[in-house]
Amino acid sequence: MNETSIILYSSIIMFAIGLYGLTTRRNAIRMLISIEILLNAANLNIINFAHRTALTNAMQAQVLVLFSIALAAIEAAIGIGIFINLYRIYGEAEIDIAKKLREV
Amino acid sequence: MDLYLVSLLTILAIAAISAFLAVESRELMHGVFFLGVFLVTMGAIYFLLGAEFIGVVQILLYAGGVVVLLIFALMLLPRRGEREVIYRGPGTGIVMIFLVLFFLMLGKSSPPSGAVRVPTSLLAETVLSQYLLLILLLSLLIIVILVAASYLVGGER
Repeated sequence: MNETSIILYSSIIMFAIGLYGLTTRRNAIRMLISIEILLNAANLNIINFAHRTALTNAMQAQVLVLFSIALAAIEAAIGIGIFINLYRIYGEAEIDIAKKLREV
Repeated sequence: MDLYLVSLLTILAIAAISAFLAVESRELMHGVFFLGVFLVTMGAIYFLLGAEFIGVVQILLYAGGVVVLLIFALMLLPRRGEREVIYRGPGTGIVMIFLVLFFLMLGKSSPPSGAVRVPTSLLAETVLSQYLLLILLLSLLIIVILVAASYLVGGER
């Protein structure tokens, strides 16, 4: 078992943890945390395989991960904006009480 | 076992444990702190895998930006009694299905081995020549999203 498969298997474990958190929890902030864990597991896999290829491919993979990190950051920003509004309207940020997004 | 492998295994173990605690900890604030630990360890793994610039961006943008954003959101919001709904049965089922499908898909293929280390100067040159238009579009998107987020949060007045 070489280093590539070690990192591959541990990124599978992290992805499974994120998936478990996303499906079991209903708190909005907790679901955002789980989404970040999922994205990081995917990014780790990209960097892992980029480490084993030619230089140009590795460079393209790193640019891809750079874009992915930036998109994850803005996803967190817009998600927190929506969740603060959920807190304002419903008093708590459990996803399953938010049946509609307009004011109640 | 050389030092590289030992440090890689240690960091991966810390990352997996802190990811689990981030999802499963009772207090929401503790979960955010464990998410910070997880993101810093991911940056360390990027350093070990020869992606220094990505590691720096990870620590600056994720562990410095996203975690602080989450902590501020938690601190600014009013604290109600924790009524966290947990659906353990369906979640465990979905994760089991995922793991079984993945190991079936993985089969007997053996991943390649090697070690490529991308110099940061070369990466910067590529980003600022080949991907310049995409970087500009991304920064435009970030500005639009930030304006939209601030409108969402403070839209009442």
